[in-house]
Amino acid sequence: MLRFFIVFLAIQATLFTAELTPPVQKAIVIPFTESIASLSAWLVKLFDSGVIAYSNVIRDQDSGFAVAIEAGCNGVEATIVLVAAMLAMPAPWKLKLMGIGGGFLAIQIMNLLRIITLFYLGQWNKTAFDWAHLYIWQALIMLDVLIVFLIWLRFLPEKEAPQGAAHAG
Amino acid sequence: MQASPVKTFMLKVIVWLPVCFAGWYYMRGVIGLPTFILVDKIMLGWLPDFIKDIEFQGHLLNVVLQFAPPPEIKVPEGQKAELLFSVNSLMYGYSIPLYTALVLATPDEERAKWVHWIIGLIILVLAQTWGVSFDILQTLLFKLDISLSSQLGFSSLQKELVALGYQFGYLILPAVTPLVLWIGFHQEFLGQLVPGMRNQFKR
Repeated sequence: MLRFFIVFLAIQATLFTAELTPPVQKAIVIPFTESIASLSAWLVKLFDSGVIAYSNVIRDQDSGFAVAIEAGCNGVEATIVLVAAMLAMPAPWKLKLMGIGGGFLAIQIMNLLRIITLFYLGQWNKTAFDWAHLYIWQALIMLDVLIVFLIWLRFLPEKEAPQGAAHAG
Repeated sequence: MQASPVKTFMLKVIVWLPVCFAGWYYMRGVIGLPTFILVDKIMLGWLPDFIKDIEFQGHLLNVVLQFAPPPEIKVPEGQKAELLFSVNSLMYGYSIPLYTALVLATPDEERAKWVHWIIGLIILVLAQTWGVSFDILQTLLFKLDISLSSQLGFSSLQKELVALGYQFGYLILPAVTPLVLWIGFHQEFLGQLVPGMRNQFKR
């Protein structure tokens, strides 16, 4: 367990620091965030035509209300946590890659739901928006990470108990 | 048909979460007190010439600055200028209701639950203190006029480290700490949720 935590924290710190560097921001994070904004706007437009997206902003044309998708709202940090946990776990590489791919999708689906609900909550009530934005959705996204991780663990092949452990008790 | 143990556990967490968030918000004046005391000691002890006072108001930490005024600000001779800004400590403390919900949803002995919760709370308060302290620092360094922030005498590297510490305290610590604590304290239960889990960790 200790080994898992040390490797997990090391990978996470490395990925997080890399994420904040200007080259990674420019090449990956900013284009990715903008594509999340476009995808959110496209989804909203399926049932609400008065919405536009530009850069990392989604705007309601009637009310003028807009949300900007910033660091912490793009699901990148949650993905980093999940990737670090899966890489730190002793498991076959094929399962790790499948877990990372599936986990990334699960986090991004949840994140799209977060962005869309926040977009409408903000037009309805500022206090509800702040609550959902700053506290509730943050916790729900991390629960999503935990669920994905626990489900993924169930797919891992069972390892034999180390010699001696079988005789314990 | 028996429900999956992961599903049952998560349903319990979802049930506990709103209760824990409500309790956390209404008790914020008490729960936030240790963080306030720690931040107050750290920041006033570190920058006594710049930070005059930190007041605790509900969940807001009001930071009162005093500084030698720039030439364009006129103050009576011998006096310093003052400025106040607030930090929302709850932004760094949502990990507390999340962790509490995870602990409550986990089947365990009453005493063990209390022990896990109290140890977890102490660590989460430290994580919250990190977040609030770096929020104050990044405001001082990056949001104030350069004529004021330069009075702190931070080097470029120190500024970079403050920026990294702030992002880490805002984006990672409140999110990851409750999960790490929960996994660390509940390996037995994890073994029930995920068969073979204990053997996976034994390496």
